[in-house]
This record gives sequence, structure tokens and C-alpha cells, in this order.
Amino acid sequence: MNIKELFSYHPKQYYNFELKPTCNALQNFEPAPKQNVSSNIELNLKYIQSKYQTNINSDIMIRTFNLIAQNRTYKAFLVYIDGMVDSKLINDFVLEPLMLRSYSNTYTKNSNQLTSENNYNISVKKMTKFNLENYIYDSLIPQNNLTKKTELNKLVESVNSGNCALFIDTLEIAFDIDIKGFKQRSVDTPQNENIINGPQEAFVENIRVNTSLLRRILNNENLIIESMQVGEISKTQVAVCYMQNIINPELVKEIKYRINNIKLDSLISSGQLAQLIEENEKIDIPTLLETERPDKCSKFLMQGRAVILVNGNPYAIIAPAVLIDFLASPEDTNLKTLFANFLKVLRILAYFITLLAPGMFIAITGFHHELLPTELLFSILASREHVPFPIIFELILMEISFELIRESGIRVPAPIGATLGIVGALILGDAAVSAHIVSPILIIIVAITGLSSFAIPDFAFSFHLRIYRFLFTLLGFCAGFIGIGAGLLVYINMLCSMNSFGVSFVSPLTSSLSTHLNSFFIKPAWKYEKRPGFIQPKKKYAQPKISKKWRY
Amino acid sequence: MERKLGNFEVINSLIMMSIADIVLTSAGILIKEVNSASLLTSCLISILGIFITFIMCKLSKNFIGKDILNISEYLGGKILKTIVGFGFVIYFILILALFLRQTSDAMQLIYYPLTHIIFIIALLSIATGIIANFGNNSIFKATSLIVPFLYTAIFLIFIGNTKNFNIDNMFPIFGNGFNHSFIKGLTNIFTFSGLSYLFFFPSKLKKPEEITKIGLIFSILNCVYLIFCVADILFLFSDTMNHSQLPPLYISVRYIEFGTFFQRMDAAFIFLCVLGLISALNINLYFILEILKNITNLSDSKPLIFPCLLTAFGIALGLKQDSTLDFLENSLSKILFIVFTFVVPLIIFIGAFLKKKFKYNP
Repeated sequence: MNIKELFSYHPKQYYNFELKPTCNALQNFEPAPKQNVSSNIELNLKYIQSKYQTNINSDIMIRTFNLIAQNRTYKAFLVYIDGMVDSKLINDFVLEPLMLRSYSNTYTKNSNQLTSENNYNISVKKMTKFNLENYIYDSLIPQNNLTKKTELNKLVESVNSGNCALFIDTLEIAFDIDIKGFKQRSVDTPQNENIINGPQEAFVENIRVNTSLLRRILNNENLIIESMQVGEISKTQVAVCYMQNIINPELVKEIKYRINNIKLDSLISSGQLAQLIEENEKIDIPTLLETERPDKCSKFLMQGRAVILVNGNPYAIIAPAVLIDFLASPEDTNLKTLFANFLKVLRILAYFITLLAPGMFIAITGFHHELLPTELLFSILASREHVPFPIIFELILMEISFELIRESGIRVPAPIGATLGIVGALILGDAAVSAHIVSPILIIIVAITGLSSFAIPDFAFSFHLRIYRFLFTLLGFCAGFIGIGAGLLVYINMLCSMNSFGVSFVSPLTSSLSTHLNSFFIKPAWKYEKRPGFIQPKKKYAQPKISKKWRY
Repeated sequence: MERKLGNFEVINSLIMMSIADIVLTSAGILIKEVNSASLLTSCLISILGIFITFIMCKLSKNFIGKDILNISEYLGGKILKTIVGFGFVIYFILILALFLRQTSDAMQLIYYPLTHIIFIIALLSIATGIIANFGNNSIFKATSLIVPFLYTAIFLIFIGNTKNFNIDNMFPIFGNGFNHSFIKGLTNIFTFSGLSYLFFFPSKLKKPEEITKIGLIFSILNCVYLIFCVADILFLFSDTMNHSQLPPLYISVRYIEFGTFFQRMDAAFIFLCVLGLISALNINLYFILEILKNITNLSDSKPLIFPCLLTAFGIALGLKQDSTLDFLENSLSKILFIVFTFVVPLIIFIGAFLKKKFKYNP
């Protein structure tokens, strides 16, 4: 740098980027106009090039070639997305037959195919005019899933989903060839719904693999898997699965009606779909069950419920779902009745502890001392002697710390997660007690509450308990048991006001219908005679009164 | 579309209204009035209650699926319907206000002596308002969930207190004399307070033809509940509760000792009572709204929730003096109960029955 430059004035350069609204904003939820395949291949090629913007889109492959049939050369091209198709399948079963075998199938000038039939010993020769479209479909492409399509939009959708489109000059149709071959996760053990006794398979991201998992378990032709698309841009494949001979047809109609009437650009996950088809908009309590277990889905399908799968998501939605379903584990039916019931009661207890324990603790220590034995009361008061904060501050501080530990435990890499949880909880708790910020009894309350929240099998459901717990804590602090009682009644009424696809969320607790499969206590395997009455299934009985025929 | 109610939900709702009344006042009033004869009077009231319920249900069977407002419209047109409707609205609002005041008074006395009553009434009113906003279905479902717990609690209280019982308290068995115990004592039939709401249910029932069955089951359960409550209080206390302002059933809970861990269970009882009492407030509010909706032809009664609650809140706050409250509890509410539960429905049923008879067989 020279001296002149050193002393000269250089205005400061600011890099400034501001996102401004685009002047030609597109907001159109109407479907794109239909455009058919042209017999002129150049037009088709231009359409595809402009649709996919091949000059900037790097993974869109257009392979042009010549197809010779009847000594005539036809221009042709294949369009597919690199990475979504199986290259070997394209080479061996699409390009090779089209480019190589067509040379060997050259015909004479006026060659018409001859077929002969023998009827009543008379030989009749039929003259069949050569048809390129049929010839390719019948003789050239050895693919099991090959369809002819006339609409360009539909062809583009197929290509987007991993198929390959074959356009041939002079033909007003194009071939949609299923040669999907993208990399995907193989079927693995469930990540979030672990059980000890039972199947260890979980859904994956691919919808076809998921439907096959269900088919493998149910083995029945009455299992219907209806496919539909959601999302104007993403065109996400959604499958509605149900047992045709068990489910109430009205339920299927309603599910399909809701899914077909969703207008949005993209559907990414099953959680998003669940929110879009749920009835209750104002209340954040889940009313649809989400699971990654095919065995759980099969169990519900056999009860007469529907399962909704979303492509690209390893979770299935079960509809309708009721309160007790959220407290049931897939393991329940695999265990002996006594053990299963013990676990269920434990989970229900965990539900109330998660929701009410901190609030109850505050209410008892603040208003209802008489509930506790005098010794325990003195011990609580003595433990709080050096704590300078009000109990509500202590509790909320510890609850938030616990939530922080839990959240960070999930976000950090898996090997560190468990360590972080233990170290965080131990060190933080011990330090907080030593520093006289909180009392030891409060640590016990927060820990029991936290443990109880982990015992709730459904993550979304346990999440709502974690949030509502804070409200009950405040109510307990303000008005003791009366506040908690009023809050609890509001909460119960909230649950009672909710519906899941026309089924009361608190069924079967308030209905007198016989609901053996889904009653509060689990019955032995030989007593599952009736399907849940609140779902109003077509087939009411799941098994005869005496299922152990060998015994009687 | 409004969901029709099942028999189980209706019976539980009616019982809830009676339970709330018995816990708060009527059991205490009965014992104060007839002293040692209260158990016998309860039995008599129970028999009379079942009998009257049966008669009224039988009369209402001539108009299956019609509630008392529909029947009054049939009898005297829109004018009679409006008069009867407004009469019931005023009665139910008064009951709502009285419930609010009595509950809040009890709570204040037990736990919040330093808190102004306005805050307690406001807390209960807000909870009632929020619940009413969830819709009608939730109220009856929630009540069905709570009533079995309340019912069980009463039995547990009775069992828990048995070792403190003094059977001699029921003697002299005729109390202050036959006339005082059985003739004047019959006015305590207002312990069947749930009965006031029974004839508003037929149009909301899944099986309206089973109204007699509902009425009888409710009456029998109400009798069992009343007898247990009265027996519990009577056997436990002699004369001491006459001077207490607290609900006698609450005091009886204080005597229970379940081992050494739980020293006193009264807080748990209060917790359960709060659930029941707010449910009762909600059922009451539901009927006020339904009647107003019916007589004004409103499509949605939700905008009326807070005006109705504010009215009840205002009345509850206005009942400052003990003498006013006593007059309302012991005299006016009894008279109004008899008028609106027995006299008015009976006149309407008989009138409508005669009109129907003469219309088709002139």
C-alpha cells in the first residue's frame, strides 16, 4: 500500500441485503391446467426442459436416443431424476431393450405382423397393423409397473416421485416406468417406543415399505390401502389403511374427506397432517395417536380404526384415538394380565403425578398443612429454613432447570445425552441444595414429577402434561386445593369436550358401551370378545365367547 | 348438532345437584330442625320423594320427549311458556347465586379467613364460565366422571366415622314431637333438589321414554345418599353442630383418622367437593342458558354465559348479612323449591293432560 492510498479517504463498505417482497408473487392453490403429450417430440422436450429448468437444475437427466422399428427411426428421450432411480434398471431394462433389441426387430417394408388362429381346423390369417405404442408396451420394456399416460402434469409428478418417463416421437402418449431406486433406511428397531416383549420392527421413511410391514402382519385381503396426494407442490403420498370388513364406512369417508380437502403447498410430516385433520383447534392436547410400530398399528386396524401413513415419515397416525390409548403401551397385550394392569395403573398414576404433584406440594405446604404428619411437616419446614425464596420461585426454578436438562439431552449427540442428563441433574440439584437456593424435598418432588412424565408412553401427550403442570402449580400457589380443584374440573371438561373423528375423547369412561378391547383394565387374551363399542365397528365381535376351544 | 344424553349422564347430573345441596345446607338444616328424629324424617322424605317422582314421571309420559317448556307451550301458548321459562330462570339464578355464596363462605371460613369473599366467588365464577364455554356435552360427561368419586367419598366418610358414632343420638326417635318431626319436617323434601331439573331433560334424552326409570333411579340413589349423610352427622354430633357455620359433613370428615400418615382428610374432601360444587354450578347455569335459548329463540346461548354469571355473582355478593342468607336458605329456597318442583310442573302436567284428553275425546 502506498502512502497516498494510506491517507486517502475510503468510505466504509457495508454489505446490505434486505429481502423484499417479490413483485410477481404466486399464490395459486388451483391445480395447473392440463396439457397433453404432443405427437411432436420436440414440443414435449421443450416442455420438460422448461418445466424442470434443466439449464439450472443439475439432477434432472434427459437422455435422448433413437429407436428403430420397422426400419424407421423414431426420436425418443427419457427423463428422470438422478439419485432417485436405479441406474442399473435404466441401463439393463429400459435403454438396452429400446436401443439394442429394436435393431434386431427390423421388419420388411410392408411388414404387417401376422398372427394365425386355428378354428375348426380352418387356418385364418389375421393382418394386424403395426402399432408402435403396443409394440413397446408388449415387447420392448420388461417392467412390471409400466403405464401409459397422456397428461404431462401426471408424468412430471411420476418423475418427481422417482419414476422415469419415456417420450417417443409420433406417439401422443408417454410411458411411465417405475424404476425407483433411491437410497433409504432399512427397517430397524423402534427408536422411541421400545418394549421388552414383542416385535422389534419400526416404520421407515418409505411408504411402500411401511404398507408392506402392515400387510406382512395382517395377511388379509380386506386390508385396504388407499393412496392420495396432499400438497400442491410437494404432492406427498398419503395412504389410508383400514380393514374393510371391520371399520365403520363413515369413518373412512370422513378421513378421506378431510385429507382430500387440505389445501396447502407442502406436507412434510405425519405430525403436520395430524394437526390438519384434527377437530380440536383451540386445545393443544393430541387427539390422534402417532406411532412408529407396525404391530401397534395392526392391533388398532383390527379394532376397526384407520391408520394413515405419510411418505417420507416413519410415523403412522391412528384415528380415532381416545384418552386411554395414550396411556397404553404396545407391550400391554403381550404381557400377562396382572403385569399389564399393574403397568397401566402405574402409568395412570404417573399421569396424575406429572400433572398435579408440584401444584399439590405447593398447596399442601401453603394451605393444607393438616394433611401431613406433624413430623414430616416440621422436616419440610426445617429443610426450607435457609432458603430465602418463596416456594413458588423454588419450584418453577427447578422445573425450568429440569426441562432445560431434558431438552439439551435430546439435542446433543446421543453418546453425550445420557451423561449430560445424569451429570446435569446430579450436579445441579446438589449444588442448588448446598447453595440454599432450593430445599431437598423440592428436588424429590421435581425428580418424581420428571420421572413420571417419562412413564407416559406418548411423547406428544406427555408434552401437554408438562405444560399444564405449570398452570396447576400457579393455581395451587394462589388458592390451594380449591384452585387446583377448579383447574382440574376445567381440565376434565376440556377433555370431555374433545372429539377424535366423532368419538368422544374420554370414551369409554363415560359411556356404558361394552368396550372390552379398550377398557380401563386389560383383560386376558381369551376375553377379548368385543371390539371397542365407541368406534362403532362393522364387526362387533373379535372372537367367540370361548376362544380356547381346546379346553372346553 | 347437540348430542343426546344417556340415562347414566342424566342420573349423575341430577344426583350431583342433590349432593351439592345436601353437602352445603340441606343435611344440616334437616338435623337442626328435627334433631334426633332426622333419620326417621329422612326415611319418610325419601318415601315421599320417590312417590312424587313416580307420579310426576307418569304424568310426563303423556308427552314423551317434551320438556316442561314445550308442555307449557302446548297448554297455554307462547305466553305461558315465556312466563314459566322466566320463572324458572329467576329460580335457577337465585339457586346459582346461593350456591356460589354458600360455597365461597364455607371456603373462606375454612381456608381463607383473610381473603375477601369477592375473590373466592370470582374464582368459582370464572371456572364455571370457562367450563360453560366448552359446551354442554362436556358438563354432563365430566359430571358422570366425578359423581362416582363423590358417592364413594360419602361411604368412606361414613365407614371412617363408625368408631366415633354414638347411636344414642338418634333418641328420642320422634325428636321434638310427631307433629314437628313429620308434618313440619316434610318441608325438607327440598333435599331432592335435583328433581327441579328432571323435567327439562326429556327433550335432550336418547331414550325419552325411560324418564320414569331415570326419575326412580335418581330418587333411590338420592335417598341412600341422604340417609348416609344424615346418619353420619346425627350419630357423630349431638348438639354441637347447631352453632357451627361450617357444613356439618365437612366437620364430620375432621374426625376421621386413617392411620398416622394422613392426620386429617378434610382437605382431600374439600378438593373433591370443589369438583362437585363447580359441576353443580355448571349444570345450573346450563339450564338457565337452555331455558333462555328456548324462550328467546337464540341459536347459540354462549353469549349469555357471562351476563348470567355476572348476575349470579352480583346477587351472591349482595347476600352480606347472615339473616338474609338464613332467610334464603331456610325459607325462601324451600318455598321456591316446592313451587317450582312440585306445584308448577303438576299444574302444567295435569292441565296439558286434560287439554289433550278433551282435544281428542271431546
